[in-house]
Amino acid sequence: MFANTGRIAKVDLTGGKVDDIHLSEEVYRAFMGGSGLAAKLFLDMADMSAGALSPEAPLIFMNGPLAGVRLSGASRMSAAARSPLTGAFADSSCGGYFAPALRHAGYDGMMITGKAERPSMLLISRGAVSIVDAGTLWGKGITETTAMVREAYGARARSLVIGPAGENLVPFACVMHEAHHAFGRCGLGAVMGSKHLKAIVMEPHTGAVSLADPSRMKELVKELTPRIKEYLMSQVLHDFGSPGNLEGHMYTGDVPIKNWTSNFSEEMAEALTGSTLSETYLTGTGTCAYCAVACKRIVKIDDGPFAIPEGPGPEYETVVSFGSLVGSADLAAACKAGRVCNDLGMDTISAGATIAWAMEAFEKGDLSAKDTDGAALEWGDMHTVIDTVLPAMAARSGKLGELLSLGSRAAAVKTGRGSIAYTVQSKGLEAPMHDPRGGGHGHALAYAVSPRGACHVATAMHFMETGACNYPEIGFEFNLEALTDEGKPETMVLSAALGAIENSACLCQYSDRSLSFIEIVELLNAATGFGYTAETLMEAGYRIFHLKRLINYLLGLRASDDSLTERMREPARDGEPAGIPIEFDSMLERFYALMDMDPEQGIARADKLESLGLGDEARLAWGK
Amino acid sequence: MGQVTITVHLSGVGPLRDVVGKRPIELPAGATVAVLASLLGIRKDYKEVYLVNGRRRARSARLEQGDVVKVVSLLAGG
Repeated sequence: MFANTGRIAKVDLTGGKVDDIHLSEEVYRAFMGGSGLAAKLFLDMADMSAGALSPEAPLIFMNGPLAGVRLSGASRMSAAARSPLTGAFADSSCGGYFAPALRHAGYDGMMITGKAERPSMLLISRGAVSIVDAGTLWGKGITETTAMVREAYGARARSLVIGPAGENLVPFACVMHEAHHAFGRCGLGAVMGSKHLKAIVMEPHTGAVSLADPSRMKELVKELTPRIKEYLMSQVLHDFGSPGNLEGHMYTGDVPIKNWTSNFSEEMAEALTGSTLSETYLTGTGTCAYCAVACKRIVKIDDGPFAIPEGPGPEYETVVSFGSLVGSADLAAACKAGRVCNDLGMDTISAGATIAWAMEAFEKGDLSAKDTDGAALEWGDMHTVIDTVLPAMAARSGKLGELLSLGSRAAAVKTGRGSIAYTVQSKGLEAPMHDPRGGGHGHALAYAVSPRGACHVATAMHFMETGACNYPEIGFEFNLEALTDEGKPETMVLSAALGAIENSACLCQYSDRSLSFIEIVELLNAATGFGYTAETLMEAGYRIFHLKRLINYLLGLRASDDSLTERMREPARDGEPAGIPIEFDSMLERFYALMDMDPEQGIARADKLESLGLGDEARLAWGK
Repeated sequence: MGQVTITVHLSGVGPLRDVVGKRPIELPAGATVAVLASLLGIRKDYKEVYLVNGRRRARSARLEQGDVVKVVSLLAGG
């Protein structure tokens, strides 16, 4: 086999055993790698009745076929498990340096089950995985843990670690890599914590990556790298980071304010946008391996209440989650809140969105000081957020910490008083910081049908709807109006497959924006020799999308879970999109029809699954 | 006699802040958003849209004296 090593470590933490899993080349071809291959492994290996935090629930890390190729954007990998936040199948993607390092160590991925008796870590050394005591690391924050790992195993060791939030099973705890990259969403850090697994540490390896057509790959990398670098979006990302167009998004109504009660603030637009960050606190940029874009921010705040030493800075999602969403225009506070979340190991989107919900509940009187241990949760009060709320959430301490550490959906269910109406989530996953009411109505559909819940990277809709990409080879050319449903279900069909391909090939959605679809096909073929065509690669994308939906069905989800909350469906109150309704129900109905999905069960019909090579899987849901 | 020219208040937003600047601009009376767009000549890949007095307007929309025009890029990210 080319590109992939064909070797996946199988770790049983209960029994202290490590074996290898070998999958056939046909499985690799059909499910590509990353989130697609992880989904296939999950379906084949997992007990669907097992709770997300039970020992038998698998946690899977998986590379894509391009890991180790010196191409900008090819250094991401996926993690997958049942989410403790949503109960659904979850995958989460992370950039950085772990994916190529794992490939050089001779592995495509790891599947971890069981629960270690004592806090443990996995050590990948000399091409083998072993289980090592991690008692001295348990209880430590991400920054300290990462530093201790480097101290023990050398500066070139790579690590995936959890913080206190993961140890305490906060259902939106994340897994951090080098204290700057995250498997951010869906609570995979809690799954790791439930296994008493504090860290996965890898010593440097030098194993060769065997490609099917190395000379063609060399040509492609030489041709594509300058284009990726010179692409306008790459330049904006390089100069201003992922918040580079926050101000523009605010003017279109895409940026949520105060728990999605407003869509415009000129003050917040100017205060929080990427160029302001560059002019104030930016001291440098960071990258993933082989990246030509360098979107990551390094920041330092010298003085004031939110002073922080030089280190990782916030991405767009964090700036908005701890900026406009909670009613704050204080960029320093957003930087610090992001840093605190990184150290505690908590997803900034879910944390910020849950706090925003709680602030509105407090304003409405649905929560009172009795529910918050006396803390007043007021819009824009970042001192309380940083000093009181975030530490309580990660520790699950007091009434405040217990309630908000549940995430917004469960916290609203516990609170009652109709507060579920103004949560902003689908399937229990808090929506990212793009409001479809202003950003584009198709995005509402994407949030609802994304297998993992409200997500902007599981599909390519955000980029397709805003014109960041054209794929004429598969019938998509940008000509969409944002604030209408016209053409959106049809676009969502393509977007579902494209998103699955990106997350299974483990390509960065920034770097690959300037590539044509045929170039993506060529890259995968030069790596694997699988001989994909545009048609068969799209088919793989659909196969993976439908497989994840099928897993969700087996986990108990139905079409009724493809829902948006009342807040997400009501027309925007101000800004550019004020008063324009989203035709959500008709978009959803049309999407199901176009995808040949059963509108009640929420999965593809048996013959559709069969046509995608998922006959055996179809029988799990549909019987004979 | 009707007005020969109009003045609109123009500014670029986000990545277009420096490209467009912030300034009044004189246009022929009856000028549309398309006329303004052709004068600005912004490179196509910014995928800019025009907000006139806070609302997105088509290229065919007519501009009026005193309109406030924000030029916004749809560049995605985040």
